[in-house]
Amino acid sequence: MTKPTASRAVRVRFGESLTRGQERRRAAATSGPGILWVTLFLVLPLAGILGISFLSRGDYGELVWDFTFDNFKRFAGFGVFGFEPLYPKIILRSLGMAAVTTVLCVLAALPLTFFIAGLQGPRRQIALMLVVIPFWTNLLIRTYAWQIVFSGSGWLARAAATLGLIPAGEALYPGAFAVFVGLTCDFLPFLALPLYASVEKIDWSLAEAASDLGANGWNVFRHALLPQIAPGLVAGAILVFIAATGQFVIPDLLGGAKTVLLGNAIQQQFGMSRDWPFGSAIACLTMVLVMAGLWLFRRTAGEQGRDSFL
Amino acid sequence: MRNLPHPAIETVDLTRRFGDVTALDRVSLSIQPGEFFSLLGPSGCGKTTLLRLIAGLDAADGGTLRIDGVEAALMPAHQRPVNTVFQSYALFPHLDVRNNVAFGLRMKKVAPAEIDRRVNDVMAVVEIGPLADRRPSQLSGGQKQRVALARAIVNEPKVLLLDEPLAALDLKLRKQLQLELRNLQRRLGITFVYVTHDQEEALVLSDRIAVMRDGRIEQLGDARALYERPRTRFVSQFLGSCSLIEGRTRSSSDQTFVAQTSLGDLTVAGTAPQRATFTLAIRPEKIRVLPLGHSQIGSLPANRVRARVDQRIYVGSETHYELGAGAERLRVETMNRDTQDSDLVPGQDVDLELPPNALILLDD
Repeated sequence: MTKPTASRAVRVRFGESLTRGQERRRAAATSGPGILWVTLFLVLPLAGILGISFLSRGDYGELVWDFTFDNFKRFAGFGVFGFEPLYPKIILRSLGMAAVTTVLCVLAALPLTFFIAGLQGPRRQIALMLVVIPFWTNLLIRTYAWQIVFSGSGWLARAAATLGLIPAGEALYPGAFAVFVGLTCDFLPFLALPLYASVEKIDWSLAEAASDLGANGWNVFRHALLPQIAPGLVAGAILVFIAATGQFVIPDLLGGAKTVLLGNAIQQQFGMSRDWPFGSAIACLTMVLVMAGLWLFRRTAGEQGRDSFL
Repeated sequence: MRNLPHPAIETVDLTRRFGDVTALDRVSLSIQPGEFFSLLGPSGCGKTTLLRLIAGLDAADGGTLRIDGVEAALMPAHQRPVNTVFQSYALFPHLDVRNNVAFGLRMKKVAPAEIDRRVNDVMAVVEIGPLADRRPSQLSGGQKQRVALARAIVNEPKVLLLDEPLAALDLKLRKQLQLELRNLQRRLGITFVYVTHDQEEALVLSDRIAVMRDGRIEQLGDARALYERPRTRFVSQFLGSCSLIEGRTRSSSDQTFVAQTSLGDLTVAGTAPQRATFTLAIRPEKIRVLPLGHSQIGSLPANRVRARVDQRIYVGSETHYELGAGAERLRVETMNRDTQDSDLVPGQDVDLELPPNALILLDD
């Protein structure tokens, strides 16, 4: 048995004393695999995409090793034929769709999570499970299932026709209605779960205090409840917004594939057009845009934002 | 104090049930404007339930509640002219002290200039001006208490409801804030309804006290009446302490009657009860310890009782004794006026005097 000598640095952590070598080996064993995984499958591919976005496409779709900003210029709308805001429009369309989806998810998740938090005992667990269960099915299968529900012979379309909302025999898809129903249902759990975590912890005595101090129902929600659930609401909204920005399968299947979104554009460049450099440029710029948006959001609706509720 | 034609709070047969439990059982009381009124009782007696009904945070199952003469059943909490100081304070954690205090006035859409003026005034009154920009998480318990108080009184409510506001504070701070609360109430003239389980706090603060037990009012009166003339065993034990003596009537005359007890015959001031047996109560400080050899000094006092000292507890200003007399246990408290040790030791026999007008005839 060797005693640690003064020359070997000994750290005491969690009640154990380790030499520096032992500590290093332990760190490598515990954090190493994770770091390796992220490096191999996230950092390196992203760096690759960033690099490729500065190259250009050869005549047969191969990569030409020059250094150019053309891809970014083209994305911003300045192509060989002058200014044509095709891609800025695609960005706006995608961000707009993501924003509407996020708002719809917030409107659906608020009553849902308060309802679940109000349930007693095992009912609450069952309700939470029902929120998550759709994840057990593949996204494509769920989306095709919506097509059946929305089709002219589906029960929803027939119910809508009975109520006189649409002509009999007409389908509810393709169209914006079907797209947003599909998107909202698909992303609802991303918002509902973090929001529920906040709602469950609400200190209701603050709501009583607000009401005692003259706040009506809306003001109780705004001043006593909203500040408490803001963390969950913001986290969930960010998750939904990011995921919805790149989403194109649901809009294609339920919207009739008539419009191009960021997801379609990237897929097209890497697939049919075989223009990897331009696809990479779109991917990188989208990522930068979303990150800048989130940073702005944090600045405005973050710590200061919560203070300015009143 | 203005003499209004109707009480600040009036309840008639107010009842609240939670499942099988009747938390409030046909409570009727009337609280006058400007009064400091305490609801006193052990936990689960219904005192907080009554407070929440008045605040509008809970709805009654039966009976009537009038606030300042107006039927309150259909009045939502945010429209009632009452404000509450919560036991947990319930300060808004995302707002600083100033905005916490301003909250009620903002909800009432008071003009900003007037909000500023009133908030500053109230913060000065409760001495939290220097804390204006702090968050509740940066305040001590006593400071939070002051902010909660300021947040309520800035609205100038008809009635201020206080739910054990000092319970979470240490003894010294509690004593200090008790006095401040009392002075503040006198100064503002607002009706205070004060919930507490601390009998001393109720005695110190209140104009009148309602002692509650199992959802009912056991006895209602001012501090002196409740302490000197408790009507039931519960009140006699909950407010201070009392020795209880079982008895039956031996004889009675106009102003007094003689009770036959295991301590011997005792003369009691008042009229004899109709019941065959009854219980007498006596406060520990009312019992006099007779000096040794007193029988040689002069006339024998009435109600002289021989008892044996079981326990002696020295508490500084007083000495408390537990004594056995007949089948009863007696508690005696004597002031330590002399610096030398009194000569009563456990096991010793001693003569006590139970003055006839200190013996209280209980109803149960």
